[in-house]
Amino acid sequence: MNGVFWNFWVPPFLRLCAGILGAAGILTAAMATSNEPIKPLPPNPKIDLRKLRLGERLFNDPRLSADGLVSCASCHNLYGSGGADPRPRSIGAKGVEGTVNAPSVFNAANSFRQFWDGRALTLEDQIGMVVVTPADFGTTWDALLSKLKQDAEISSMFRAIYPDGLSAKNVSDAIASFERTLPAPSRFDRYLQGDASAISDDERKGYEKFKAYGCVACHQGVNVGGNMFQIFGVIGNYFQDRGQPKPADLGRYNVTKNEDDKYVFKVPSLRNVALTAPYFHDGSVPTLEAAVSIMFKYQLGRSASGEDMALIVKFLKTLTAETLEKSMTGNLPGKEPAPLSRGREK
Amino acid sequence: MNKRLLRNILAAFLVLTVIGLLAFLVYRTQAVDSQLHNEQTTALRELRQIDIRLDINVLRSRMGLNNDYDPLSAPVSQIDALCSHLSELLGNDGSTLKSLPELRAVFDQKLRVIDQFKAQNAILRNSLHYVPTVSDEIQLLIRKNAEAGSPALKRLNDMLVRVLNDTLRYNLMPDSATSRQIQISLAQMQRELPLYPEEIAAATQGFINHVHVILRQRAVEIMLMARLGEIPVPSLIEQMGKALDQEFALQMQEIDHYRNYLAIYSAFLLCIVFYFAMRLVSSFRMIARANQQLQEVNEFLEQRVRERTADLRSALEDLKASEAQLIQSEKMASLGQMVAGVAHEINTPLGYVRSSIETLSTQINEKVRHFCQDAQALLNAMYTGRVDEARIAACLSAAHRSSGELKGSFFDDVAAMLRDGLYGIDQIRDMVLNLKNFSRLDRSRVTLFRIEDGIESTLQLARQQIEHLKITKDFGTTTPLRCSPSQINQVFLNIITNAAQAVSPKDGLIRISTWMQDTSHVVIEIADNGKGISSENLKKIFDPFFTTKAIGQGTGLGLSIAYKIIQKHGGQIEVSSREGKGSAFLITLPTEPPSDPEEGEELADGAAA
Repeated sequence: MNGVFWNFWVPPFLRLCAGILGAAGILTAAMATSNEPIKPLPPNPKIDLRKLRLGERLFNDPRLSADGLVSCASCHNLYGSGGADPRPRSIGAKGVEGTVNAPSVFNAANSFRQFWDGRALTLEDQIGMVVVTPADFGTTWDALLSKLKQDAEISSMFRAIYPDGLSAKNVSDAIASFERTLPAPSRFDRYLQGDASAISDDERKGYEKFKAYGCVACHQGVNVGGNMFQIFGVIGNYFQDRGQPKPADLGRYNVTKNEDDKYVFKVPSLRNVALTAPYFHDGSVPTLEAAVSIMFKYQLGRSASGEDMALIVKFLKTLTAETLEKSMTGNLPGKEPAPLSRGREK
Repeated sequence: MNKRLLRNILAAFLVLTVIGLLAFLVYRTQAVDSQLHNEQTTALRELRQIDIRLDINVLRSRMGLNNDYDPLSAPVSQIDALCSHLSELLGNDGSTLKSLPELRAVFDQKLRVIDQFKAQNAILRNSLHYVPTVSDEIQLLIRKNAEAGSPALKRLNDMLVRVLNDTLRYNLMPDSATSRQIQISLAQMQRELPLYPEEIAAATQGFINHVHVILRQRAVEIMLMARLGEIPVPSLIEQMGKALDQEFALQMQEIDHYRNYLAIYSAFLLCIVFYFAMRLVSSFRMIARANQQLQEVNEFLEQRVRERTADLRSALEDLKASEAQLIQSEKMASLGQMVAGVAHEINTPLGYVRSSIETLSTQINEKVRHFCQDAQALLNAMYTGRVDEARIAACLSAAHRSSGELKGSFFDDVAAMLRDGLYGIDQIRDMVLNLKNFSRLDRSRVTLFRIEDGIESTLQLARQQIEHLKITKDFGTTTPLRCSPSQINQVFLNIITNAAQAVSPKDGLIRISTWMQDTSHVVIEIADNGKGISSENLKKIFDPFFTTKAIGQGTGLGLSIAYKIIQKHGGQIEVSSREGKGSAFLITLPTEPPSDPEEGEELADGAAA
């Protein structure tokens, strides 16, 4: 009887206590900070530095693609374009053109799903799909691994980190681990954490407009988006107005084949949005201002003054990671870009 | 052999089976991994909690309490991870595992609805937020407008207020009547749009659009909430939890069963062990008893052996005594033979000593007494003087006569007779000397002894038997032996006597040779040309009591004693013979006999006997 009591009743009771305490803690924390719809970045996971180095090497390794010319970094330009592709549509191995504009890799780890249509759940899944998609690496794991196996240094790095050495799972793990350390806080994160001077008055006003016009309804949370799907064209038909319909425009429908999912896309994260032009899945919009006004028209179904839009754009620029702001200004000829990965020694 | 192997294999198989069954039962009674069960239950409970939190956050989002969707999107990967974890935990746990894909599917369904909810909720919230704003804007525009008093704008104003109120009410409590009413008003607005000034018309269009959106999205929301409520996540989780508990209970029950089996089996094994132990104890006891009996028997046997040994020893002693007696009697027998020879030998010289002395005595009686009487009578006659001359003359002539008889050959005869007598006496003396030499009883029993001397004295003793035979002696230079001479002589006498009896009296030949085999061994060969020994008899020649002679003539012990004597001296005696051609005895003797005191003693005994 005693045993039953201790084994059966006490753990749930303790868990309940812990839950109450935790809830209380969260509540007080929430009250202490703010009830803003946008949340500051959490700290990145602690990952073995050797793994990060390996992941970074693989990220930049064009041998991952079928023709040996395309690496992850080919379409996720870490230094110039905020981890996204400056070309409207990415070009994969053997010159195969992709169907969408590659989104940023920087905060992908904090998105709830990967790809515009959310067909991958995790970064590892995303990498696995990129390897075999013709418009991406257009290869197979076997071919990729046999190519990597010829590199004694890479092989030994794998053996040093993973007990089972070089494998598809471990290649994905290394690259994903590297990507998980990419998220970097912006000035706005500092503002959210109570540093009122982190952003200017205009930028703060822009944030207020961002909230007031309802942009924040979809672009919220830690990633300022990236945590939900939304139809492109809530009010008005964007695709009709744009013309030239393409299969990729069907968005999540391509994944679920669900009529309701037509033209539905993952709401992209707006972190580093100032760097990730061109915009939208079709990469059809070259400037942030134009993108904001399209959003007003088709998503919010309203118009705004040019002044308000400019303020919103100013606010959006505060979402650029400070490391990238620095690297952008420091990325002059003859200067090494600052390391982007924020991995820490385990 | 094969049967035994089979039995061994069978026994090994039996033991293995017993142990295997025990191991199986012990294995089956190992506590179920209650930790695993705990983890499984915990994972399920966590899934349930995530589900509950999802529901709560959906409601919060709906109420506008949550202003971001992170709480609704973060669980996506958590659920995935937990489901994978659970699938690992469940391993291949039958029924519960089967419902895991179902759980995943249900969760996917739920997340899909939540995704739709998020999209819907964002739009609805925006429109709800925008509709009052744009309504205010339009009213402001109407008031500002020069034609504010126009019936169209007035109607618009009224409609705006009514539709806004209706829409907000509809949002709180959706009903089809309100919806229809709103729809009618919106349609009227739409119709009257051209009547409004451009600015107002544009804003009104926005208002109309957004109210439509609210109506649409609110309906969608109702549908989604209904769908969300239908998704059986909690019941499925509960079902899985129950299944897990049931499985666990079943396992526990099974373990209880096996525990009972184990107890019974253990008791059974204990009985067997006890039985074997009892058997072992009893067999030990039996062995102990047998051992004791064995010991008793042993003791008895030892006693018997001791008695037997004593008997045998006394028998041996008797045997030895009788052997000694036999040897003695053989000795006496040979002595008898010898004595006969010796008597004969002595008798002959004794005869002519006697006859010489007899003759001498007669001669002396007759001739010397006569002369002495005559000479006495003459002397008497002459000495008295009163005797006449005649008398003297007569006496003188008588004396002259009798002295004449003493003259000449008489003294030669006397000398010859005395010489003969002395010769005979010498012969007797020689014989006695030989006898003495032969027996050597006057010397120490074991002494250095020249073998040739022994042969010579033996030949002397046996002269009577061998006098008519030809004896060839072929002596080498040999080292004196340490031995008992009387015994060795006895051997020689025996062999030589036998040889003498075996050869024919006409051309009998005995050849005696001696030589040194090496520095420490002397060889004596006594060969004859007699009738030989048959090969059958040759084998038994040294056996005691074997004889070819007529009963009463020989004891059959001579050669066996000779064999024994030579053996005691550490030597060898061999015989070779060819029937009709002769026999040869070959005796090899060491110069030093084995210095075994017992041997020596026995030698001495033998010598004494």
